[in-house]
Amino acid sequence: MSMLSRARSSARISHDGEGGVIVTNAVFRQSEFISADADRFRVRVTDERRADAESVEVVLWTEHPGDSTYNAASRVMTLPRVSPGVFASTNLLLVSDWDDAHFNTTVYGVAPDSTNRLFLSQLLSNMCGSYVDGWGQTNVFSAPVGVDVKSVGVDVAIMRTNGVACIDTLSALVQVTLARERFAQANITVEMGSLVFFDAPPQVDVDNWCVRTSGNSRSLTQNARSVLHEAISAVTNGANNRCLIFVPSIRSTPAAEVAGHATASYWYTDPLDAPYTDHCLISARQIAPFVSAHEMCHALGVPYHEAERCNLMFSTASPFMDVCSSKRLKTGQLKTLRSGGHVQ
Amino acid sequence: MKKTRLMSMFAFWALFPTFGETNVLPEDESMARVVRLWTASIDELPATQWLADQAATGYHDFPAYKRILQEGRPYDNYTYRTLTELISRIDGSNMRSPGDADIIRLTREFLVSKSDNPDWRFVDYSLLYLSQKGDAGDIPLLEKYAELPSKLDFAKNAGLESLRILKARVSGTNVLSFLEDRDYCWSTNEPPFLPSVANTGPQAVYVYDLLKQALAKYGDATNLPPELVTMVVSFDANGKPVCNVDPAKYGLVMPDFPPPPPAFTNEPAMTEPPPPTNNVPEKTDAPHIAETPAAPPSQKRSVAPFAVGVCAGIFAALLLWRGLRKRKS
Repeated sequence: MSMLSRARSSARISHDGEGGVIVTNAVFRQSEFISADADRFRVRVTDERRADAESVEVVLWTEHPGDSTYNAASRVMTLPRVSPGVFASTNLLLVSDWDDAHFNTTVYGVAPDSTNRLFLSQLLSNMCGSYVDGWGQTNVFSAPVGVDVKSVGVDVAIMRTNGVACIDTLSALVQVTLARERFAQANITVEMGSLVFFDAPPQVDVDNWCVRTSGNSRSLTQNARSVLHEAISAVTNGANNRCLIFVPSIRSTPAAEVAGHATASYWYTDPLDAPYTDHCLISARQIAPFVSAHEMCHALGVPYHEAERCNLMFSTASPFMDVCSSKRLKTGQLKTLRSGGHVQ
Repeated sequence: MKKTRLMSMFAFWALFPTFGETNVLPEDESMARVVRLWTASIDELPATQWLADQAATGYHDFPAYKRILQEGRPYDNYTYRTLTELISRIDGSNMRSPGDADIIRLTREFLVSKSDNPDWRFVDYSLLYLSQKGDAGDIPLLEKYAELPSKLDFAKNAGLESLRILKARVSGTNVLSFLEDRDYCWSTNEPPFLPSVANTGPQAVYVYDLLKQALAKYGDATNLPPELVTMVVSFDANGKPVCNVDPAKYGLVMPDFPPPPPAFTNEPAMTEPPPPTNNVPEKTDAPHIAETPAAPPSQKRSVAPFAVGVCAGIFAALLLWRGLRKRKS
C-alpha cells in the first residue's frame, strides 16, 4: 500500500468575458483540474487475497495534531482494479481552505466527483486511511502533508487612534488565516507571533499620511518611518518576523490611496530605511480578503503583479471576489517565496 | 511690488525646474504611462489601468523607458527587470527589429554589473533580451551566467535557454519557436520567431514566410533541409529581398510584400553601435552614466527652460533694482 500526498490548493476558477464560468488550474485551462494538477496524488492498494475482486473500499481522512479546524472527515472511496489484486484511486487533491474543500461540482459542471476527491488539510496535517484486507485485518496508514516545509513568522500590530483600534482583532486574525491557507501551496507555514496595539505617532495625520512623496521616490517618508518604528517596537517576537501593521488608511503616494503596501527592500533601497523594510501596511478602511497575503508575498520577495485574475499577485485594487478561494500562486512565485531570506 | 515677487518666484522655478530622485516625474502621457508600469506593483495600481497601460505601450514609449533606465538608480534590479520585461515583449520578440542600440548596451552593462552575484529574480528578462538581439560578442557574458549557481531553477533555466538561443542565432540558425506558451509579440501580434543574427531586422519577415511555407511542405521542423534553416535573406540595390538559397529549388516562393517599415524611428541612438566582437563591457565601479560615451542626459535636455529662467531672473533683478531706486528717491 502506498500513498503520496502534498499540500496544494486545487480549484482555480475564473470567469470568462461572456459571463460563463471556467474552472482552470495555473497552467492549463481545462475542466478536469484535479487530474491536471502537478501535485495530485493517488491511493494504491495491493491485496493478493482479492486478486479476483473488481474493486475495494478504503476510508480516507485528514487530521491535524493540534488544530481540528482543517480536518477532513472520513469518507469511503472505491478503488477499481488496475491489475489482479492491485487497486488504485482516481486522482485526489489536498486543499487548504474550506471553499476549495466544498467545491460544488454541480454548479460548475466540472471535475467529476470533485467534492469526494478534495481533502481539506493544512501543512503538518496527516493524510490518513484505513483498509480492511482480505484476511480481515484492518490496516491504518498515514503520510505527512507537505514537502520540505518552511515557515515564516508574522506579528500583528494594530494602530490605535485616541485609544480606538482601527480594526477589530478578529478581522486582523482572519487576514493571517487567509495568508496561511495561501502559503500552504508553497509549503510554507505562517507562524503567528505576537498581536499588539500601538498608538499613532502624534505627528502623523493618520488619514492623510503617505508612504513616499512621489511615484519614483525610493525612500520612506518620515511619517512612514514613524509608523513603522512604533509598530515594530511594539511587537515582541523574533527580529526575523514580518509585521502586518493595520492602520486606518494608507497612501502609497499623496495621490494614491491603497488597500495595502509592502515596504519591499527591492524598492526601498535607502540605507536609512533598512530597519523598516519588508513589512506590510494594511488599510483598515480598504480591507479585503487577500490583501495581507498579497502584501506578504511582496515582503517575502515576489516583486511583480500578474495579469491572471486568479493569481494572488493580481492587483489588490481589483480583487477577484467571484469565488472566495480564488487566489493562487504559480510555480515560479512559489520558488521565489521559498528562496527568500525571511523564510526559514 | 506684487509683480516683482511673482517674477522672482517664476525665475526660481525656471532656474531649478525639477527636483526628485531620478528626474523622471511624469511630464507627458508617455512618461506617465511608463512610470505607472514601472511602479504598478509598488503602488498597487488598479488592474484595469495596468492592463490598459500594457496594451497602450510600445515603441513610442521607448524614450521614456530609456530615460528611466539611464537616469535612474544605476543598474537597479527592480527597474531593469520591470522595464526589460516590457521591452522584451515589445521589441525582443519582434523579428523585424534589430534591437535598440541603447537598450542593448544598457542591458549588457546591467548584466555585467550583476555578474558576480546576481539576484536571479531580476536578471532573466535581460538575459532574454540579449539572446533575442545580441550577437557573438555577448556569448561570453551569457556563458558566465550559465555557470553561476541559482536557487531559482526557472530563472536559471531562462538563462540557459537564452545562451542556447543566442549561440544558435550566431551560428546562422533561424530559431523556430512556435510553442503556444510563448508570448506573442506585442508590436506585431505574431508568434516569436528568432532569426539568425544575419537575418535580425526587416528581412526576417521574408525568412519567416519562407520557413512557414517550408513547414507546410515538409510537415515538421526536423524534416527541413539544413540550408533552409540557415538561409540568409538580404535586400538588393533595388530593395528587393534576395535569399542565399534558391526558394524555387525547394518549391517555395519568395513573398512579394514590401519590406516592413523600421521597428522604431523615434530618435537617433544615444551612442555609437557596439563593436562587432566581444561586446561585454569592462566592469568598473564608476556610475553607468560615466560609461556612456555620448553627452550626459542633462546636456541632451532642451536649453529653453534654462534660457527662460535666466531671462526671467535678470528681469526680476532689474525690477527689484528699479523698485529700490524709486523707494530711495
